[in-house]
Amino acid sequence: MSIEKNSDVLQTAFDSRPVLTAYAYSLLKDWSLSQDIFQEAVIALNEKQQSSEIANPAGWLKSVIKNKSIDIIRKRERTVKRNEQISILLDKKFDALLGNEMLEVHKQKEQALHNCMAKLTPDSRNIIIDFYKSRFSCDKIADIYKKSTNAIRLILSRSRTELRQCVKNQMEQP
Amino acid sequence: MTHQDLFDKYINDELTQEEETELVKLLENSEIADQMASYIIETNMMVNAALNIEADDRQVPAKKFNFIYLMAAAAAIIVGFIMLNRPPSIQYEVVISSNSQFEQGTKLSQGRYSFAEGKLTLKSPGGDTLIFKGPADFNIETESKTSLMDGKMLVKLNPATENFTVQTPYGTVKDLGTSFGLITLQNSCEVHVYEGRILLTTSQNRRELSKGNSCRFSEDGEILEIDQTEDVLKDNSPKIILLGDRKLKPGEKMELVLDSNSRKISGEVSLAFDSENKLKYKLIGYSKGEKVFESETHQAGDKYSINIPTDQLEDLAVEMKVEKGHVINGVLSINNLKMSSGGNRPYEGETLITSNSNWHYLFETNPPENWLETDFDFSQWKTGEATIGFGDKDLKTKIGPDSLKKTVHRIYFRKNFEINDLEINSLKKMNVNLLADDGALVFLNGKEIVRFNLPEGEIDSSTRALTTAVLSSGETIYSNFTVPVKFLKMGQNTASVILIQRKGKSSDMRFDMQMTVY
Repeated sequence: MSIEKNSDVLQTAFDSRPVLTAYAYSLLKDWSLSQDIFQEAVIALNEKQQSSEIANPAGWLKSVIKNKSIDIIRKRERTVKRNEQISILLDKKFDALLGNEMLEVHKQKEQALHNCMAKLTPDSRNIIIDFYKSRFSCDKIADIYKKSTNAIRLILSRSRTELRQCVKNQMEQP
Repeated sequence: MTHQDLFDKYINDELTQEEETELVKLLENSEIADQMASYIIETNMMVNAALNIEADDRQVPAKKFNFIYLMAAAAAIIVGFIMLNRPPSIQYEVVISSNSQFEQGTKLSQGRYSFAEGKLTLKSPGGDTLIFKGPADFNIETESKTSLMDGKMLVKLNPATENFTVQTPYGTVKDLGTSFGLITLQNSCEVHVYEGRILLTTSQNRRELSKGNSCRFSEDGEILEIDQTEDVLKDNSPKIILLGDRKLKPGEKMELVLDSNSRKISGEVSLAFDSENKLKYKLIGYSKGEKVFESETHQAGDKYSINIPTDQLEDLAVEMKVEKGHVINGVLSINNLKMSSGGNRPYEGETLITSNSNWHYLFETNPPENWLETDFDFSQWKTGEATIGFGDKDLKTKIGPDSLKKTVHRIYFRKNFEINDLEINSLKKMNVNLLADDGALVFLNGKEIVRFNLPEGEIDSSTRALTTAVLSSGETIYSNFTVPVKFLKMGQNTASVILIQRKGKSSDMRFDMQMTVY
């Protein structure tokens, strides 16, 4: 494969990362693992490109992520629910989000979200990490931050609202 | 329950059967399914952004200004500051060392260090004391953060020190004004609090521990209370012969190996629970299996100084023979062992692979399963001069653009070298000097000889380095490993390396290696 084609593949992988890592996240419910699965899928894509042309790299990556995720879920069935019906209902939605136009929107949104996240307090950011990445319960986070469970729920909810508003404002700017 | 609550419960895998049924019904409405997919993407981005900012904050504690011109000015000042002042100097002084790798009085700055035997006591300018017990593998990252990948560690902090943190493979211990000890085990770590308090954080839990409390924490994030160990540095394994703390019984022997350039050893032996100094011992030195000296009988508490009466030392083993003494639960310590250099040129060994040499490398694909075999043909792999990698400016061979950090997580290296004029049977040891960002597995003729910054157990495609390599600016830090020579053979030998990236946001990879035999 030529260097140019290799670069195209990498670029496609990079552009589809926000959606495909979220897709893996929706299946695995494990943020860190979803990042790893995406990376492995990109390596597999790179290998595949050596021997054959792939017309839709993002779609190909999504299939690999799906298969790898299902493998992992099967191995961890006792601890992770498969939620098969929900996965099927969400699957087509993610397909729709892999179009070039949507990928560009998500790219901009990711940058805006990064800027907006910096405006939150460190505690709010850490609570987001604790809840979504570390999967601590609100009770446990409340214990850590010496706040009530409701206060933690409120911080999570408000943080998301603030972020959405901030992202909207940033994306509306010319 | 709001839609958002249901989405969160789904993401955190907490849906009950009823809630799952409710969510399935909701998602049959295409608009709500759209909302949920967008919600998951948004959550994914939020975590990513929060982690990025947290990492940035740790690295550059710079204030942000609202005005462009102020930012430009600040940037210029920061750049100037960095140019003039980097690397940020962390100078831990080696105050006591019973391992010849670390000379007493030398300074250690940021970087990864490992040693097989003995004890190493470091002191910071601020008065903090870190004591490591080998085999140990640690990384001095900042003045307030050290990682302990393997071994035992005792931390005694100056009361003025705040927020000192030790990162272990299974959790983080943050000081809240204290003295504490850490032990890494096969699949877990232990922390023992001797003074003050600490905050222990794992992937699943956080717990504050005060004086007298101890916990074991494991890969799954669980924290389990355990009985306190009075001294984490104490050696509980009688089979391991160490220079430092060592339970002895009459008739037992103790060995310590000194550097090849040492011509004199001096020190003092003392025993806990031996206030009357009943222990009597001799030190007997050997070189290449031949006795080169035998000291007079010393008594515990005596200071000894022994000249090594030979010029041909390639290495020296010193045996301690206990002649009289009865030590029950006693601890032997050899403090202030200092080795002075002799007048002769030290034996420098034979270098099999020099640093900055050429390597074959592969990163676009995974190699076939038999790639570690010595007759594997890697002639089609690309070649380049080390240091090889991407993401840094000072590399000799840059394998591709910086954007590779998004997709490349391991690079494979191969190199053949010949041994024709060495007597392999006379070789005692081999030193591997490794520069690896972030982790590496080194094989000699297909056998693993060095595992650096990687977890124990089988390495598969999902394995990532334990920590991000920290290199002081403008410098490269090589880690030194002493490994057996038994895998070497006459004729062609093969070195193979897998360089593995840390998962997450590590932005670069680099590799170089030197291999020397003695």
